[in-house]
Amino acid sequence: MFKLRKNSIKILLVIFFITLLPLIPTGMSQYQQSFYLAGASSIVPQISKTMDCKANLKLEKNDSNYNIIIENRSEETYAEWEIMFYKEKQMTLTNLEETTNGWSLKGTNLKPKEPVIIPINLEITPQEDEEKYLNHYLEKFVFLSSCKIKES
Amino acid sequence: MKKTKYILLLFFLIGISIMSIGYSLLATNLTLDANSEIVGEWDVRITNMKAIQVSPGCDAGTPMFTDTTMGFYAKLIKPGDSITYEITIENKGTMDAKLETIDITPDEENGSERLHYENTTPKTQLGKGETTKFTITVTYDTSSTEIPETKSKAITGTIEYVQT
Repeated sequence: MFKLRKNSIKILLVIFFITLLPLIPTGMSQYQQSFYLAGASSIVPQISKTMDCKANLKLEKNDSNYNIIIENRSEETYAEWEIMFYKEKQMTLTNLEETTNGWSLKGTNLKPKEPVIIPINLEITPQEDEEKYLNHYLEKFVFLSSCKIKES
Repeated sequence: MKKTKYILLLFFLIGISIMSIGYSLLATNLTLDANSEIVGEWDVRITNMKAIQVSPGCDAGTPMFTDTTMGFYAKLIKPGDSITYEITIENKGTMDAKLETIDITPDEENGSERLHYENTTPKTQLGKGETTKFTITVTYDTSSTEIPETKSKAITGTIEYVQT
């Protein structure tokens, strides 16, 4: 009287499994949180012998010591300035303010077109290597200096 | 023969009907009144990001962060300069968490070889209510003797905490 065909059995089995599917523990449920990082860094050079900030910066040897010459190249504007010297092994500046990374020198009211000469006590150790490394240091010294100048 | 079958079927159905009615009459309703709720709360998030060390003259910008993202833009001036950012992650939920993956990768292929990134790792186990901090430091190579042609480098990363 009740004939169950093969197809009917298949359909019943499919319905059975679909009904039970949500009850099957997956074992995959787990809270999680992802954090995303995006960053960038840039080198913003302020280090060249002729500064973009319209100041000239020179280092020259004066007898047994050195001078920094800073010149405000603007036509009319007085300037407030700061030079930072990066710390270098075997090189010490004894009359400048020491910062975390080197030395800093600041000034205000730099007149247009009037170079200012600032003597600095630069010590190179060992002294016998001074001549040998002088050019190298001069080059690097200026390179590793930076200057900020703004209208004041 | 066919008639006998129909009679048997009729009796069978009547029997089932009587059993059902009897069961209904004798059955007592037992009412169970109960509520259940999920009290476990998952809430691990970034709660702070700031620059904790900036070399003089450098610009750390304003680090930006949301609950799940963090970003920064650092500007360095001279060799030896560095900037360090500190990120705080807090487990404000009621479930313990563990660090599943941390993958922070600078773009070495396209970025400046003179910029270097270093990072610390946040806590591996972050219990409920606990806080962890980690840092990312970018440094301008101290051995640089000239301004590099490529002046920037990006960094991206993913940190994933999962339920313990």
